[in-house]
Amino acid sequence: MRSRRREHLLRSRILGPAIVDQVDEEIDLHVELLVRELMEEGMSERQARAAAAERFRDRGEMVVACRKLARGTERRLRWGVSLDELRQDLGYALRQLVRAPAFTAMTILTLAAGLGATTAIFSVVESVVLRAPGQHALRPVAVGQVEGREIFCGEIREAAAGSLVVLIMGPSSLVSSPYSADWV
Amino acid sequence: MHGYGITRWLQSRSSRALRVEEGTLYPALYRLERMGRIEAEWGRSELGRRARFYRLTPEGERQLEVETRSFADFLAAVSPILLPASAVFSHEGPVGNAG
Repeated sequence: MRSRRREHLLRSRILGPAIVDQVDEEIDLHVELLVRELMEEGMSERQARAAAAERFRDRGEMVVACRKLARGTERRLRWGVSLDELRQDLGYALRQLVRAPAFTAMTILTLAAGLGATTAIFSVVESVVLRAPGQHALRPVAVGQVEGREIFCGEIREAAAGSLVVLIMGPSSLVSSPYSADWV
Repeated sequence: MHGYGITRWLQSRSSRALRVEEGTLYPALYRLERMGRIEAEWGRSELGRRARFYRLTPEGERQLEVETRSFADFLAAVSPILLPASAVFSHEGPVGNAG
């Protein structure tokens, strides 16, 4: 089935035009056979041709419809063939890897070492350079009391001289302006 | 079988009761081909000219079986209703007037 499909596609690739361009040829043959049959039934060739033409009077539309469908078929076949090829290439690659275990092990180790080193270096760079302290990278949420009232949550920002400012984000009945608090 | 052969075959199998419209045959064949139910191959026809010969794919065979069964079910369900009714109403008149 698969190989027949491939063969079919190869044939249409090598032996001339695609299915799309063959609709007319197929229908020409049908007309010819029909004319022959009508003549055997006793019509003159002219009568037979006229009758056949009448049966195919919407030939133009029909050919357009068939070509459109044929394009879809070709896409489907081509897609099937490229999937087959992909599968074969993958299989070939795997077989080659199994055949050369030393090479395979080396490759895997190289990849592992490379990925590991990159990850390690990135985590150091990230914590030391990208997320260096004092850049407001962290925004912990505070829960506590300001002037005896409950504060649900707030955002802690570092102020200039080491004291912390609590920005209150709770309901408006609570303190709503930035408030300096040294208990945080 | 090529397109023309299919029309001949259908006609002879149905004792000429079915005539396939050429205008619908080829779009139907191309649609079935796109759906993967049939596949076509170029070969020599009886006139010595190239013709596309159609053949069912395995998927097409499965689908044919499904469609055939569902058509048979339909026929089995409808026949006992329609056949006696048509016998009663067209040949003997409505049941109430008989006798």
